[in-house]
Amino acid sequence: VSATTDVIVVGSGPTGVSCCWPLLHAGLRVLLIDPGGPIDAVPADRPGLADVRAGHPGKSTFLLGGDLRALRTSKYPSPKLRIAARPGFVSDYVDALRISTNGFVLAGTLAPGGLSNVWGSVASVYDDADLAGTPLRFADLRASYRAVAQRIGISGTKDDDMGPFHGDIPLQPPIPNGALAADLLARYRQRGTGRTAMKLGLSRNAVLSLPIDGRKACERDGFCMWGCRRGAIYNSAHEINSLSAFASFTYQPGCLVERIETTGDGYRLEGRNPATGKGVAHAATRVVLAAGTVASTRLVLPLLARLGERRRLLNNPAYTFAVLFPGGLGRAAVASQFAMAQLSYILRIGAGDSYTTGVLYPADCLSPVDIAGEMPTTLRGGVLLARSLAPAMLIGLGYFDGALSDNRIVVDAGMGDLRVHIDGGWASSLSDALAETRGKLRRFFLRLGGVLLPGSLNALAPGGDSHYAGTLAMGDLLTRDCEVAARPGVYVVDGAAFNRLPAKHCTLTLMANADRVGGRIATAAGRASPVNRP
Amino acid sequence: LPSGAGPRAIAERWWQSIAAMQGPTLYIRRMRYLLTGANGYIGSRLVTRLLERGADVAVLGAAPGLASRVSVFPWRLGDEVSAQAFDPGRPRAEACAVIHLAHDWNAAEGREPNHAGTARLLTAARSHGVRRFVFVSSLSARADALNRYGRIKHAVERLLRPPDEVAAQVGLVYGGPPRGMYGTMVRLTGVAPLLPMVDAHQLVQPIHIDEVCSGLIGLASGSELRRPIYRLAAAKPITFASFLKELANRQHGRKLAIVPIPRQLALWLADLSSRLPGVPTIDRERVLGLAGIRPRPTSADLRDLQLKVGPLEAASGELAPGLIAEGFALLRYCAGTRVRSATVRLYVRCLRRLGEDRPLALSWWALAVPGAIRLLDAMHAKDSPLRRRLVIAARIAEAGCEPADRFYMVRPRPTSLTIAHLLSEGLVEGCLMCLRGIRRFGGR
Repeated sequence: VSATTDVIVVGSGPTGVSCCWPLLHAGLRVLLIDPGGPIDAVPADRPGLADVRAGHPGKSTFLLGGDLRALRTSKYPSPKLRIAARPGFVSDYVDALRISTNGFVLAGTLAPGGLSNVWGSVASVYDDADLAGTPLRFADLRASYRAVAQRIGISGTKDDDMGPFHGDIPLQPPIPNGALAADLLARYRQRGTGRTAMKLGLSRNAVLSLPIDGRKACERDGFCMWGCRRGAIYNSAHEINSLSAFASFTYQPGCLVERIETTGDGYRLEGRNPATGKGVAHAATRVVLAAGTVASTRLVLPLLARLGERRRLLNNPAYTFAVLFPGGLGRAAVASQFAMAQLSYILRIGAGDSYTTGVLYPADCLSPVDIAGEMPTTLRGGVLLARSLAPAMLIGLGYFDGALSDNRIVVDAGMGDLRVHIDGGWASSLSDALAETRGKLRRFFLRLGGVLLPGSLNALAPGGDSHYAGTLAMGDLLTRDCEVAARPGVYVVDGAAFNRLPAKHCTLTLMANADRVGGRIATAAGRASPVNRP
Repeated sequence: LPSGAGPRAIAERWWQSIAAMQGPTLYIRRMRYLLTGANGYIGSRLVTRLLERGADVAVLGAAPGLASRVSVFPWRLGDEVSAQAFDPGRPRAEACAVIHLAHDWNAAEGREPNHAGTARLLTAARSHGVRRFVFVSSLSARADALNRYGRIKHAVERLLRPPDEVAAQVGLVYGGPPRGMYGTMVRLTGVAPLLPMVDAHQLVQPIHIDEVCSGLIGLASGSELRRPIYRLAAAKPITFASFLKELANRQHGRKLAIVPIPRQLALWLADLSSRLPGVPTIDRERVLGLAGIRPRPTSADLRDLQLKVGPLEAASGELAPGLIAEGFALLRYCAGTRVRSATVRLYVRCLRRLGEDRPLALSWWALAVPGAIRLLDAMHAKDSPLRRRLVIAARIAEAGCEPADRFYMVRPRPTSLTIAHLLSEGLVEGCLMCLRGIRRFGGR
């Protein structure tokens, strides 16, 4: 066991980084490891999307990427995964971890920053109803939510109908919306919701409207889907630099952990450098796994001798749709605006407290070729229609409760190494939920002057939402403090620790929980973590 | 009109004549194609080609980047094979053909997973009554091959029982995405205008990756096979040096000079590099691999398979005009206007870099009247080669130097005009959709 490391944190995604902060504040020596690899740099001299579209020199390189990434076909529904991520972003991960899937779309990456590289950045807080069934209550996470929100910067408002839904955390002022979204919100405030149990308000995003820590504020240049050149959109890879200000922090890329071995006084992580293939090992008494739900599951199940066991893997079944506001037809497209979630909604469906929630994006900043791809038309017809429709259209992305997913994950050994297999599926009640959502959204938008385009509301393939959780779970294989019950000293702080996945976006909660667990580890190590951290 | 010719039959015949104009499409039996090594350079291309032809594809191995329509069975050379893998599981399916591409490069010669693993796969295939087993071997496969790869491939070939277990000895494969050995050669030829090379005068027999795929599909689905081994490679050998020069010309648009170095020196350097720490290792296998190649006759095999293997020079010489003509037509269709030649050059350059270096077989009328491509577009599924090429063309037209108003509403327009425009486009698309409906209905 290393004399220089108290805790090893595996993974530099949002949860790994969030766990490092309280550990470091408590004075523990932390080693953060990840597989390493290139961080996708955005050209700093890139002009705004409007200028590029108008024919700025280098247009094709800015739009297609120097490596033509935007031309490669992708089975991933997110345009961000196609155009912001380099080729190999996901496939290197799937190759390295030897994952096979059946009816499941898996996103994951070896890149520093993990999936936050392509995060849509919607940041909401779970309330007690969302946490029902987990051993946690909102009060357990309150301080951590605040700490994370202050650290990463979240813009939005508490003072509209969606304010209470997104939760009470420190906020930066909201980023101004485009005309279409602003008009819609104004009409909603005038006319109310009518009979549909639906609320509409500003979205809550981990995007800066005020600069923090070397990151600049959003300038609304429309290029969000290609990656932000100012760092306004949160990416946990940015935080590795800030963590390095602690003398007790070490970041060591170049280790993909293959297995965890129990040693006399702790754990030994054995792995390899994916770039060179060379073996790497690290040891410590405490290990925090934040490698992402699938990767952490792949490490913990062998440690517990639970190979071959089919375990539940949760995801949020998701759907997309398009709403047309005929009043906006004929407007010019506005490429200079914030191009990610501008508005958010919650819609009660089914019986009891269940709901679906989602966000609305402006269509102006999307490529008309992408929109045409979703239409049942010829490509030319689709492009022509998309060109006229885009300035008057919002694209919706909604989520259902993870209980409507039905996936299984198995970790198995063969020929000396581990394989992971995932079978994807939906609960049978998903089609009812989709139909109900379709009808209610149609009525809601009609009341506000919008037309839900017929045939446009469709479910993404299982896993297409990139929210994965539930495999190990607090109260199941993990304690309330996310410690592997049979292996004290090993903690899991990513989605694998949650046995429930409400429809609400999970990332901020996973980060807050990682922060909470970091504090608990510090306490267990006899170091009180300061409650009110800067 | 012939008797019994209803509107449905007329529409169907009419559509068939349109389809026929796009060149012959290969008839694929309703069979499951079970692939190993599907993530490799040839394998991934083969999966795409099979899916394009509507085949049922299953894969033994890992599943990165594969289409969701592919069934995946986790497997590695040497593992037991799941019985489900051989079972198409569909009522109309007939049988299963195995195309075995996987090769374990890290194997030592004595206890060797390729031989044992293939034997195991063969046993499983036989017990499940697969119709055809195609083992993908190499032209360098010989009992006395200089490198291990050639000896292993030869040993595995001897496991096969003709006529329905067949080996495909593949030549030097080029084209498509720069991966595998081909990717290495593309990178090497782009480093500098001078390239030191062992055995530069060695004769090689190139073959384009799509020709390999057609050959393998032919072997897997064709009727009776007459030979135990089919060689897939150009009949006329060329020197390795001229192959590399042509590659430099195709891929990097420049001339390449080859500096020959003696084989003994290269082997000595390989030994040295493996001993010195911190120096990139030169693979002895690779050095010897080339040296051991002998030209083989292939024309009879190719004739049997009705496979045309074009010479490399002809391919690169004829490709560009084909791609340029296609670019003008597709870009014009996507942008709705004549496009600048700079955009067409961007199209050709991008396609080459994506490995899509062959033009589609578009008919003369589509090239001459690009607006008519809309009809073809309407008749093709979203994952068809035509549609994929169209999406690329549209993205390039958007990112190229065409006026912005082709793709975005640059300035406001009266609402009524916009609505009229939407309605007229909607009407056209509605008619095209009816046409597609008739085709689908007729085709059933």
